[in-house]
Amino acid sequence: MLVIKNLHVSVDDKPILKGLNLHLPPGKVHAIMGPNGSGKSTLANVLAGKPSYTITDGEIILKGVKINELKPEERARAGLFLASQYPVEIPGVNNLYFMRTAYNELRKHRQEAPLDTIDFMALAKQKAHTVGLSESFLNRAVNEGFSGGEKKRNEILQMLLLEPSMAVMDETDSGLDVDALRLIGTAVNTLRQADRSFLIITHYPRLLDYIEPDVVHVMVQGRFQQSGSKALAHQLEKEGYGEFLTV
Amino acid sequence: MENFSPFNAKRCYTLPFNHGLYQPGSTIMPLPFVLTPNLQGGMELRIAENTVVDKPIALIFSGRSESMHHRVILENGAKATMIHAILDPQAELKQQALHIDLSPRAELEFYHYQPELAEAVVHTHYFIHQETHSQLRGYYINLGGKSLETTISAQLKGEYAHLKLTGFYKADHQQLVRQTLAIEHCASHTQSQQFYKGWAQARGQAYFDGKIVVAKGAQKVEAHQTNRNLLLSKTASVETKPQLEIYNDDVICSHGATVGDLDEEALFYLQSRGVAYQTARHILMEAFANEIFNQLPESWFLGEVDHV
Repeated sequence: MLVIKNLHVSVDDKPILKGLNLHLPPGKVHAIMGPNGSGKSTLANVLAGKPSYTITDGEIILKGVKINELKPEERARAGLFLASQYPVEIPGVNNLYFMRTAYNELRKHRQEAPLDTIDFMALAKQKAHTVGLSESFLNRAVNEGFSGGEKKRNEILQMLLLEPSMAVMDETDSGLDVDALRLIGTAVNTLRQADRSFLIITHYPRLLDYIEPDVVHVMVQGRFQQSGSKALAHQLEKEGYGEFLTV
Repeated sequence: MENFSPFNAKRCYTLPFNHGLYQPGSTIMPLPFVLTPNLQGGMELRIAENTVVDKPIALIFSGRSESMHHRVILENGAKATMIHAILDPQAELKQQALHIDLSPRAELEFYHYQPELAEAVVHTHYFIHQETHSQLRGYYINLGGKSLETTISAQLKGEYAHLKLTGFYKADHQQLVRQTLAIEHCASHTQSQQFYKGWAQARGQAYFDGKIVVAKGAQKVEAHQTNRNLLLSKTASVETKPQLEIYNDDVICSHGATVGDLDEEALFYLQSRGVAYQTARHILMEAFANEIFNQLPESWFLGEVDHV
């Protein structure tokens, strides 16, 4: 599903990713853990095509297609989704309107008929319920005045609606209480299927108790230093990143 | 055009002016106010004491005029809504002066509206005088023309007078739009707000010049000004100039002016959900403008305006 070969990325001429390699097959969940400053969010943002990140070497291949030069909307149409670490507030843009526009743009791209306002509202209400967001959040401006946890839920709501094939979750668990974590975990698990993959970036293994990863990668100083099973996550929680930082 | 225009007899009292002169033909009588046309162009409109005019009064302008003089007088306690609309794409209305005199406790809701009319030249100067406890809420919507200049000179002469000015402007393809405001607080306990937003793109030029003056003897005055601008292309220009002249200590005054492009983070967020770049820009521009449009108490006359 997603192949990353020798990826080097700089931000403001400062190298952040230094030769990252990843092979994520369809239907699998991979987790990335690492200390602050290791480049985890840089990876998430460069996958989504955020402008200020420069790829200085290497390739990102999504479903067999190299996406280095693709615009963010083209990557979204190819099935990529990024649940942001810090979702931006957009005053004046209605949440429901925004989601319906995005949903119908993707349908148009797949040559399917758009969903009308009423049908989409019903769908959105139902999905909002599964992530613990009340209907009122659909009528507000995108993320405006939402708490940290509510913003994260709004990201997952969008994921549930847009049904991406490659979902990247950037520290979704930060700002979520135990109940929200369980709710989000359950919601994401309903999306697990043979033709969908997940890349979950996290500091803590709590979310991974709900969304069991197939592989855990330890990211330090812009590269994966080690990869292993879920047990690695618990080892990190117990022992910290110390041994990796001396590498 | 009468039948399809939103300004019909059911909705409002329609007063058409062509080339500056009042055209009485289609106006339905009687009118709940006294209208005296000015033979040199313009008119005087007087609303009697304590009269509440039941429907908006719409002044519709077309044609060309080098000078027009209007005076609108609301006597004590009178209340009305007025719409000053220019719908003619070839309109050239220069040196149009509009005096608005609000007597004590009079209330006026006023709309100055021009949709996008690429060739229009409209220069209007409003002279506003407000007596004690009078209220004026003015909404100025200028959506593009060859040269649109609206100047507002307001004097709050009586205590507890309140003036609120809200505006939206845009300048595209070599268009010019200029909004010049000067509000003078002559008396104590007066309040004013100016909230204007606008943008310039392609080779458009937008100017905002907003002045607040608080006279020496005017105490407990509250005056606020906010002007937000989007500069949407390298060839466009925006100039904003807030000015405050405060000659009294016991006041609350604030001003804020910004010029910038659309929020890059918001653009990326929309694109990351599959929304094309240009569509994302339009969504954000519409959100920017809607902060003003959502404040209009009456918007039925905007029709099918695509203001983006």
